[in-house]
Amino acid sequence: MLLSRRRFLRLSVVATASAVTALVALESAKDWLLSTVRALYRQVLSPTLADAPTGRLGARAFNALLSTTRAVAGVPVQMSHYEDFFRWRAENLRGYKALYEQFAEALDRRARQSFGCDFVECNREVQQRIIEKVRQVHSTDTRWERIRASVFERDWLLFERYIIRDMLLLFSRTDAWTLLGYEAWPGTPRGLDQYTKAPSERQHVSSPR
Amino acid sequence: MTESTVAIVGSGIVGTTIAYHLAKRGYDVEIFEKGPEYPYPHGAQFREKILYSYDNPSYRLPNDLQNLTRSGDYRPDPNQERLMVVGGSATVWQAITLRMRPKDFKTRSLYGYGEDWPLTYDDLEPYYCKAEAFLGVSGTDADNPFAPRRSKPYPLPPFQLSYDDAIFAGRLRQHGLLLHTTPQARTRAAYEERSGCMNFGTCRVCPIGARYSPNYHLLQAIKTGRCKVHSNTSVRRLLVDKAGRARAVVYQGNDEAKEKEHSSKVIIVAGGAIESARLLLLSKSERHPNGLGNEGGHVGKHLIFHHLWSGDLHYKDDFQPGRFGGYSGQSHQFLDPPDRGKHGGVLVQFSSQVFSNNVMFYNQLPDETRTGSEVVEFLNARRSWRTTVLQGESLPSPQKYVTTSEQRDRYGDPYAHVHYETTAFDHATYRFARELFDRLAANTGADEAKFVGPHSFTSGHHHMGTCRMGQSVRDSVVNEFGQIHGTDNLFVLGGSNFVSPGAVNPTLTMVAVAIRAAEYMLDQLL
Repeated sequence: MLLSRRRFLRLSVVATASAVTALVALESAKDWLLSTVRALYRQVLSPTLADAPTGRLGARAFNALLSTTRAVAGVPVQMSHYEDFFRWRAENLRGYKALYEQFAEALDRRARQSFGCDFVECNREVQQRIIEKVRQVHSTDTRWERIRASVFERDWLLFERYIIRDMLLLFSRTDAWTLLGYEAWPGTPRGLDQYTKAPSERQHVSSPR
Repeated sequence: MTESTVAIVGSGIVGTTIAYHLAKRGYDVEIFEKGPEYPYPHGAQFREKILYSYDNPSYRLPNDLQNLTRSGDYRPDPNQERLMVVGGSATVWQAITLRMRPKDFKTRSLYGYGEDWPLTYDDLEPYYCKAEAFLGVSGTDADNPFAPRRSKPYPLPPFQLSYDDAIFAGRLRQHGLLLHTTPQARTRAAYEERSGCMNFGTCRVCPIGARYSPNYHLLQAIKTGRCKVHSNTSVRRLLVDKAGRARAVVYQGNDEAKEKEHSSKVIIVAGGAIESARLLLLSKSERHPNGLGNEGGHVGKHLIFHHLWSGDLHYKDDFQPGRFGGYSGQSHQFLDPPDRGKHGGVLVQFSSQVFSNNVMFYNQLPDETRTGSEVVEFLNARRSWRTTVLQGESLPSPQKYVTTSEQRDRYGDPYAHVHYETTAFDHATYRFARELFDRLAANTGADEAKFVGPHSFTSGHHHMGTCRMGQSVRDSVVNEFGQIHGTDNLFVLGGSNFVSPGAVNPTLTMVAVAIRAAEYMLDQLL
């Protein structure tokens, strides 16, 4: 069927107007779409803590955290401030108690499967090998590997971000200073005498063994 | 409608200084603070932040209440440089309390740049003494030949140079460069109701109140029974009567649906340089179509930031930096340099605090560190580096200003918009700072040195200008007492009043000007 000239023009105008409207709509939606996709991508790559109740930490999770601290540090540390740190977080910040319990379960599962022992009862070398899993998950290089890890190894990414990282930061603020030869670390009352004097020969350690 | 004798917008160090002085003299004061309560002494914050690495979100306002838009070439976000809580940014400040130099008040007359202040160093000197006593400043001029005249000694003795700074001071002296102790609002010994500093080293959240916090005096003002703080409450605009006198603030609880009025005999705006200007601009009326105090078009203009450039110096020596939390060594030798006018003055901060601050507050631990040994190795390498901060004087320019934004807050009011472009003067000051840094590197025995580029500066959170003081409406917004020209009961006080800042930290001057203004109010108005 042939179109009349008038009908052709009318259809052309309608088609052009629709195309322009669609383009304008697409253009204005583009920013929103892109930011939504970016936010989703970030959320996938950086999983956040679940909203779960606070509460007193059970012995199993607590002991797993302390064993992990010793294994991650790999050097002698004072445990009291780590104990205080984990207890406070579990009891005051939502999501941490559940995460710590999941962490202990995951460590035990892996320890039993591969080494036939509960995590806290494994020797230090085995504990370090188990925790190495966290390191591997976090150290993925390519974007594709990161996406894969964030889907299939999501829990381990959370463990790395909210447990191992916290542990290392606390270590860097405390025991690391002692190992570097400082008399005390910031956050403790150090007095106004020592800082004007030469570093103590007795405690000076240039680098740890 | 509620009422009080005095209404203050903003509970920062300036607002609380005035509130304290007026409440102690028997006047009822109400303070309106947009941000939340911030407990004092800051032991709770110390436990959260330092012991448990927890940034409590309840101390931050949501974006739809605290925000701004920006343009120009200043890279950091000025919004992140403001802490809107009861007590304001000085609840977490570094507490360096330097006096401006007499010549800083007269740069137009002496060097041909900027503008002169409407008051002199001599006018302000007694109030510097009062401000130092108020804040509990520890310091000495005995090691500082560049210190300006003073009529009273510091209220507290100085903190000695740290071991490493003393070594640097010795090396620099041989080359004619002088390093001296830093005056600071930390208690070298017990002072009033504050205990002496115990060197926790986490000064931004001092658990014992040795580092001054405005909330110390705010609590005392509240104890008089004549001072009340409305936290989580935004002041949206100011109202004037037919005669042009300020009559009320219009405020709204952050989670409330309706705005309310609070009338006062005297109204003081002390919301920081950005928000104070914004509030005046939002307070338009038929009588003031361009905003309150803006008859001369100066509200929001003449914005000034300090320019803080940092450089890293590497040494083979084992100094053990970070054993002192306060500030140790500074040089005031270049605050008023011989070529001043071609460029600005520069304050040299040669402190070992940066190492511990990086560890404590900025979580500077690379992702690659995975074990305790790796952390220790990283820190061991890092502590051979010293960060030196050079704080440069800057000037107002037509390309540095605050205005209102296109974007709006929770109530539908425009945010502030900050535009800041560096000038040829700023670049000349950078070159001078760079030369100084090279001298410091060469004369302290550094074997490696790195300095940032001219645009990689921060303001030091020193926001100034925008409601500057002057002789008349033709050149300024307020007079030397912070009184808006043409009114007798509306004041704007704080860093916003600065005409030019020199290169020294502004807070002591802000407090001195505030005490002077409070005395003026007591003598002339109340």
